[in-house]
Amino acid sequence: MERAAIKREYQDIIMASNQETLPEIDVVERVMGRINGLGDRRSSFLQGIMRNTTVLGSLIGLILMVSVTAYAASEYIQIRNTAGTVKVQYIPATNEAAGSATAYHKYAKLAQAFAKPGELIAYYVKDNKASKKEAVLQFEYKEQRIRSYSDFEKEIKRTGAPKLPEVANGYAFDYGKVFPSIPSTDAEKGKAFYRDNLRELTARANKDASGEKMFMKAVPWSEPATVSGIYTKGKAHIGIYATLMHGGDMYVEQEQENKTDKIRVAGTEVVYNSVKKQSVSYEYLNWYNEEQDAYYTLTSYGDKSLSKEQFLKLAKELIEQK
Amino acid sequence: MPTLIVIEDIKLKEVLTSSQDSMSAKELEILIATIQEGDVRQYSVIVKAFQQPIYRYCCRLLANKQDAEDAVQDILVKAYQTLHLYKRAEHFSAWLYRMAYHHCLNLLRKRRLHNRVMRIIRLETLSASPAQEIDNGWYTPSLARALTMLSPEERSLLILRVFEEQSYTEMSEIFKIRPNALIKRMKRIKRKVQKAMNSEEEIDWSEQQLNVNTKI
Repeated sequence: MERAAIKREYQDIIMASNQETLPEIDVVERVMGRINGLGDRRSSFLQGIMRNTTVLGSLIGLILMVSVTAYAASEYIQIRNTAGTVKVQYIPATNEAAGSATAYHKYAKLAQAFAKPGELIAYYVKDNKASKKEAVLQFEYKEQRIRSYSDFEKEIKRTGAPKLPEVANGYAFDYGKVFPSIPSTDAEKGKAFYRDNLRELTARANKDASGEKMFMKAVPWSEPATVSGIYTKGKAHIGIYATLMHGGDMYVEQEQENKTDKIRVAGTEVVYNSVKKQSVSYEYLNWYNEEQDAYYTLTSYGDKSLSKEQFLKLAKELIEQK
Repeated sequence: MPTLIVIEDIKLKEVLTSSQDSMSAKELEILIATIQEGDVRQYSVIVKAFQQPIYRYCCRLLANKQDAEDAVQDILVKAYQTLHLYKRAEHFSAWLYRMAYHHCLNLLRKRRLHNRVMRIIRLETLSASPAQEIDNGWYTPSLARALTMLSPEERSLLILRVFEEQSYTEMSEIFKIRPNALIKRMKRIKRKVQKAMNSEEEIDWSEQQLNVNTKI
């Protein structure tokens, strides 16, 4: 009775949704495997963290801290666009690890070994046990540090990423990076770029008789997800990071040790973050560029750091830059 | 065998759509008690029974099949880890749906930060915009747009009522909101969605920029 009433009551909403039946899933084995190996998983996770930290070095350590970010215990920072919509929202930090997709880790490493710097690799892993499952294409991008500013400019132009300066507060350009946007949603996976590459790689996998499990190829890309520049003076460095939000919102996790100060610079609200912990202290700046729909992070690290005034001055230059 | 509190018969046969053998509420409670006492293997029966409804719910809420499949696994593992906290005074399915709701909420929030900032650092893939996350073929553009105007809780209520066909009593247990208040709330949500859908039909969809509301 109630079901029929629901169908009548929400007929228009039901009609406006896809009536396609969802695929059946079977995660029993995977869930039970995880439950039985909870102790092992915990140690693997810690090893993963340690490996990442070792490989990516001190800069990455800083950025990881940046990404867990600033939080004034009593309030949550919000940055709105001119229409009044919240575009950047600070939220309490959680202790949970981000993401759980580790099944492809070894294949990601193989793709990294296969790729040249700057290449985006699409790969398909044949899984005989899951023949009924929907085939999935994975991507791996090999980082490219562009050392010449003119080459960096060309890459920015090619991808349409926000332009970063050649000099920042008297610090010379050291290197820049542009990361590609990678299909991960159902909408993107419905596009020709994803479908065609998936079709090609699954066809190769189906024809293969050698027992190969992984099939991959380099695919051209042009849509940027982030652009960053590192600037150096002696042993001191400045990092400028712009993350393209593509119409979405930015959520920033905050730790209680972090103090934030929202300041208006050149008509834009910037957040000055000061983090003081027993083991480390650092400062950085964030703001939202509405015109570019990009979230900026400005960091300073090395043997000396920018003062608050220098941070704000540099932010002003970047905000005013056309 | 532990003493069991026999609860009223819930619509388990409907909930247990992925299970070959549906259980009564009493059987489910006995099963949970057995697992709570240490028989881990029995948990596979719970997984088998609830994986599909929780997957459907996560799919609609996250609007992404792969994320939903990952989420189902995480939720069911988390449910096992916290099963000792489950009290038989409430329905297990309500307890599990509430866990799924909070898990999805966290995922929606984390997408912003981890997908757009941390993954860069970890040399991993990036997610697309929330607009694309919801504009994925699940809904017509006008409904997708309307859904972005709802809070995650409103969206969740709508999904459970409309697509999972849950009763107000069941929803009341999940969200700890009185059924009467839920009825009023659902009416408001329905009006909000219909109004947004009607106004959107007059606008060129391709030029719209969506903005998923994932505020807490």
